[in-house]
Amino acid sequence: MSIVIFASFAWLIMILFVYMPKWLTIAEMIFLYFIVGIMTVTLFTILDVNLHWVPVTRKVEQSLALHLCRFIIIPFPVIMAASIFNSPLNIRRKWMIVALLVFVLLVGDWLMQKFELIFFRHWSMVYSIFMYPAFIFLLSMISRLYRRLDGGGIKQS
Amino acid sequence: MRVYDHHFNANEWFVILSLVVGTVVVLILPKRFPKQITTIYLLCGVFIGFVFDHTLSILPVSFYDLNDNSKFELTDFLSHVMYGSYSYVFFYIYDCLKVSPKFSLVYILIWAIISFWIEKLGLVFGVYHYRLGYKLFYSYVIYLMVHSLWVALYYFMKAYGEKKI
Repeated sequence: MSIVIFASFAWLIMILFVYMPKWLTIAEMIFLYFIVGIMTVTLFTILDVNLHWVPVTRKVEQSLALHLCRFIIIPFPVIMAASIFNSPLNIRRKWMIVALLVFVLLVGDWLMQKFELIFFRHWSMVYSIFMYPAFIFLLSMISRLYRRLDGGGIKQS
Repeated sequence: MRVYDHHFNANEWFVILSLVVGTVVVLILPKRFPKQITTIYLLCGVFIGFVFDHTLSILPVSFYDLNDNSKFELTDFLSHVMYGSYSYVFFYIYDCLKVSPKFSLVYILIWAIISFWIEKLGLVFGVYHYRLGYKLFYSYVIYLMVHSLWVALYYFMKAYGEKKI
């Protein structure tokens, strides 16, 4: 059952991603996806395997659902938020949209707990409320640095 | 937690040497791509390393452990980072040789064989510790798939890298 719920949730997030206006090039989004992927996977492993703060499920179906979270449900809203921070929108509108995206991420966290994909042993939703905006802020800073590098596309020297 | 050894020995040296050699190769090679694209090609290997190693080496499958024990440690992180130069060289040679889509399958095969032997070397030096019947040949299949994805990414970046959607 969990795989159906998470596949549908991931699909909704992808629909949101497709329709949402983006202010980044494809190269920039691929770069951000790699960065978020690396950070998410590392954080999950440290919190589970090393610290045992947020153990993850050992069941096969839930594990597959967890991979959807790691590679779609978490990275896509974070990339959208980083894109919003790089947009010409006014500050108030930027924060409103980012707050909405953080809410989506928190719903994802809640669902992960509800369907026993992860267990909060030494963690709580309150930490996540602070963690996601920090994560988004860090990523938008990284994306700004990346944008300062020369343009995308393959050019032969 | 499964522990294989407690010492700074062959596996750590293998990772450090690979990292140093890889970095030197990346720095020595004449610049071929813009910095943004170079970053993506470097990150591509690191990302794939993280994805597969943190999918196949943790429960419920846990087919192998990296380095000294089953926990995630600095050497594990560095052993993922060392894939960065590897993926960069893959894209670099592909672009240098102007490999045609027709010849890509041969190129992928050659790289899968090279990767197979590098992993074999890693196995000998204690970087990988296989469990539950996992075999090196399974990685060979993964390499074929991953390198095919990289070739697809190369063409995708070439066509759409600069575009906004």
